[in-house]
Amino acid sequence: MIAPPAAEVAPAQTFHLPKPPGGDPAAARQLARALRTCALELLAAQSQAHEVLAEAHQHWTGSSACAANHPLSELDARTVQVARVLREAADRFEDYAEVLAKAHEQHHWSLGKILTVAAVVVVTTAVVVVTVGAAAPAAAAADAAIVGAEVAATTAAVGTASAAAVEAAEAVTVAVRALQALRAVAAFLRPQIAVTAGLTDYEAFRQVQATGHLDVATLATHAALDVGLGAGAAVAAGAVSPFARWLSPRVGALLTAGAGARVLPLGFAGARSYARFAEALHEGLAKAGFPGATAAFQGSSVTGRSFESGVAFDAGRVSDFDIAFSSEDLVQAAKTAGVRLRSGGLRTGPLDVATLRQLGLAELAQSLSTLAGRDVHFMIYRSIDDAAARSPHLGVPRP
Amino acid sequence: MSTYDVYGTSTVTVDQLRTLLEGLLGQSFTEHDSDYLGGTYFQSGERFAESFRIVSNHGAVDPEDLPEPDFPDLHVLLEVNDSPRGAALRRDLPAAVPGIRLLRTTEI
Repeated sequence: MIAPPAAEVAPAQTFHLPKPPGGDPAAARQLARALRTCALELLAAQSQAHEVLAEAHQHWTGSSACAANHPLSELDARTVQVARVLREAADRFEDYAEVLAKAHEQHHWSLGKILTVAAVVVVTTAVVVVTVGAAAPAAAAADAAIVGAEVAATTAAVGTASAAAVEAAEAVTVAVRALQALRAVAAFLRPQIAVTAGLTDYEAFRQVQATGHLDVATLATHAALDVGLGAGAAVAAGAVSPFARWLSPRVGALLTAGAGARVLPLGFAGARSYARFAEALHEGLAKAGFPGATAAFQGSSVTGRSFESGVAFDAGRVSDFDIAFSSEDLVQAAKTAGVRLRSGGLRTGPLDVATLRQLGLAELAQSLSTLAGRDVHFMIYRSIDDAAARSPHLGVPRP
Repeated sequence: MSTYDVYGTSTVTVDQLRTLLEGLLGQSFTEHDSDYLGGTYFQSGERFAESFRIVSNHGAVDPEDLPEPDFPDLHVLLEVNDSPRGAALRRDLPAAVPGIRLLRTTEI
């Protein structure tokens, strides 16, 4: 038997059009400016950390003081790298804005149609279903219906817009990954500074982890603090806290901006199947006794790539769904079940099968896995903000 | 009652453990990917029935991000979920897999 031509059997593919920032060149330029501002502020925060540590060194000497420079030099290297990546992402968005404007001028098409056509141009598969996200401009939704006929008429300008859009999306992905790496360094740096300064007591570690601050007076009560450390140690430890406070919301905002380029998590055929999944998820949470819990997708279904390997979602294997739950009741239930809390009590680890059964969430995980055709993993956070500070997320809407 | 065992080893790699287990269990593992589980991992069987999962337990900047942060020196983990062969595996695995040791057993 001879197999039919590939075009006849190729499965329909759904491409979720990336939601452009506002859908116009001005918004792309605005995002470029925001990225440049972020790079500048990052470098300013780095300088501030240096200034504070330099001041500390006026009163704080010895091997511990010298050792404190090591984590800061690590931060330096990463900061410069991230600032460069942010500026490159800004360049790509400015390029994108420019070619988008040119295509608009040349075709007199709506921006929505240009974006739709541009997205299709890069796809050479036989069967294409274009899904325009709910957040995309209404005009784009209308244009999507006729886009198939228009693709053939596309010109170099639209093709260039397509390439620029891809480059901009890739650049912002790189920026997000770099910021994640920087956040990891900051997370490492805080306890490291405390240890370097000689505050090795468990209370110090716990305090930094939980609050991001070191209250030396309290520590002195909890532990026999070496008075020789003096104010220098406290200032050195404090030098990182402002940086961490500065970094956290910006990482969250940029991660959200990166995630915002995606209308739906990857792995869904369209908005309807996503809505079914969201409904089942919230019903299952209520049935398990956690009706107030909120949920958000994380991981490669949001970022498009594995954080560990960089391999694209579903490329060569089935990628799982990672879902964060936020609920104080769930946190308490996890504690009662003996689950170890992490990050100063802000979250659990990924819930294994035994824990899912203990918390009454196994049935939900199983039914969602069946519905999605892939394994679904849960992690519990005290708040979605805590989840967002760790990695990009897309909130699961309530039905 | 269901039993859930977690093993760890730093003597073999994820791929080596996969090969050893495929021979021992007579079933194959498939590749999965989850950021929550540290990236690529391998699973055999139905997750909520008898299943086996091989997970990497290293590579995170923050040890808190490891699947088993209490055992950072054990770079490869094996989870055995709800297996009727659990008792036999507890007996046979140490001989079949170099350096492997049982970290935790949960009975529900």
